[in-house]
Amino acid sequence: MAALAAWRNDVRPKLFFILLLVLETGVNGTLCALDYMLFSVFWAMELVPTFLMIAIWGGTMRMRAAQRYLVYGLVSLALLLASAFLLAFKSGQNSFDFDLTNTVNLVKAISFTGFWLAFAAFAIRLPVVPLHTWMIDAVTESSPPVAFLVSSVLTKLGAYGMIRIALGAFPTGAGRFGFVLAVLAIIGTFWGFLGAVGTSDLRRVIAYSTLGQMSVVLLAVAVGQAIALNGAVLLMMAHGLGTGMLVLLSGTIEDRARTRDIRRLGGLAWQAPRLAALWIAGGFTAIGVPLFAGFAAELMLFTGSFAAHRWATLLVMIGMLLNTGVLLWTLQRVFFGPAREAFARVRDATTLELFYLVPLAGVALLLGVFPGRLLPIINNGVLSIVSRINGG
Amino acid sequence: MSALLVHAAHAILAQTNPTIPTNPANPTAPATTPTGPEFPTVLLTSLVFSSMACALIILFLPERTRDQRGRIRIMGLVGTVIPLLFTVGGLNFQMGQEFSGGTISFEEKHNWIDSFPIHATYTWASTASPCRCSSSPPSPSPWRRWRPGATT
Repeated sequence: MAALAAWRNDVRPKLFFILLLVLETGVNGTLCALDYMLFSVFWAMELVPTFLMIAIWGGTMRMRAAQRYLVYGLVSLALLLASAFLLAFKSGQNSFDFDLTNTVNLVKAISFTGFWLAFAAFAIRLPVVPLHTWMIDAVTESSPPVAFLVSSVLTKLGAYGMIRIALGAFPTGAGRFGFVLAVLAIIGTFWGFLGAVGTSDLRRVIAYSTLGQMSVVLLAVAVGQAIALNGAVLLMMAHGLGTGMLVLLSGTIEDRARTRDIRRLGGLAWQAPRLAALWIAGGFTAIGVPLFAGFAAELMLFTGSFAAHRWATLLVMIGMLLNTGVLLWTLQRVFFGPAREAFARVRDATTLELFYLVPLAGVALLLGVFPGRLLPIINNGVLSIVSRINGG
Repeated sequence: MSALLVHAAHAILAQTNPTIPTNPANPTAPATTPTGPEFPTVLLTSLVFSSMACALIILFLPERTRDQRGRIRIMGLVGTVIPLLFTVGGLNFQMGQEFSGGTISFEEKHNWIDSFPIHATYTWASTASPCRCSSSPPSPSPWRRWRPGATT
């Protein structure tokens, strides 16, 4: 999708596509690796391409955003390596292999230290308040395809690592500090809401909404139950699709209207009904409207988390409702209201844009209607982690 | 379409026969206890490194004219589509396995760094391995309450 969204980019296309493909290698390697060293190598592989893509093709404040991304990324990598070495040395297996190190009973102090190191590494990427500033800047200042990758792919790797490593390798620490994680999830959802309300930049609204949504995933990590974690994995996919569409569409709107200031936008649905329909589909996926992927995911996640952390779940649900309100308000302000003279010549979605946006909406709808097709595969991975948490 | 993808995935399978390394602490014992059928594959290696291969090809393509830039874009798109096809094909195959009770995860395992005190392996799998860590089965109920005091 990012490759198609960058199709019209005529500034150094060769470098852009090389960096995009190296980044894709890093992402795929991270998701497939079953060895801490291999995982860390591919985790590190994502840093430089993303830094360069933000720094070269970004907006006016791109260098600050790129540098902030790099610094946070390097700190995350250092923390990840520290937790990996701690696990390899202290597990007594002398190996980075997940299968060997994740079977060892660590003493509490080591498990707690390892958990916090791994948690901090992935909390940067998720992101968790107060480590979220790099993501807001990166999504706001990048070109739309890169912002799409940051908000839809890179943040999900943080959630993946948190579930796979922070929970899977250090279950004692995860169990002990679940309440702290739940509090961070509550803060994250409300922080996302307040940030989105307080800005008139369309891209920044989406970035803060990403912060709110990812905090819900953190709630599932805090709970550590199979149904909540299944919901969290599904939510990551739904959010990747929904927010990805919104980020790409925000780029299209900025390209057409020459602004992304929400106060100056309005009535675009009259001139661009297809863009409005796609925005609605993306927004509905992100906020979890029934029949879209987000609904099944949030239903599972909140059902699972309610049994363990009732108040935290209720507060996060309130925070999510507020985030939903902000996204709907943004939809109303950007696309509805009276048609404006300034946007009388705004073009609707082109064939190329429909070619990469309609499949995203289609997959979001398909996952919403048939989530059960994918859940057995997700559950297979989740159960092995949950059995560790439950003392198996 | 999905049948074609599955056939493509099958064509990639069964190219190698990866060896499962032994446990460094006890060389005679296998490192893992395979729980599913052995299924030699290079699917995940192909999935991960096909993008890198396309990036290397693009590195040697010129970008002076519009046609040349167009070729770079097409190559870039190919580099993103190939892993997608592998993913969809593998996922389709896995879905069939899940519904028939199998647990194939296209696992590959080779020794990578073994000359240092700590060993690293080249290990890929498409899902978390089924639980190999416990003599007790996973919790039967996903609704089981979180146990903050649980020790491992």
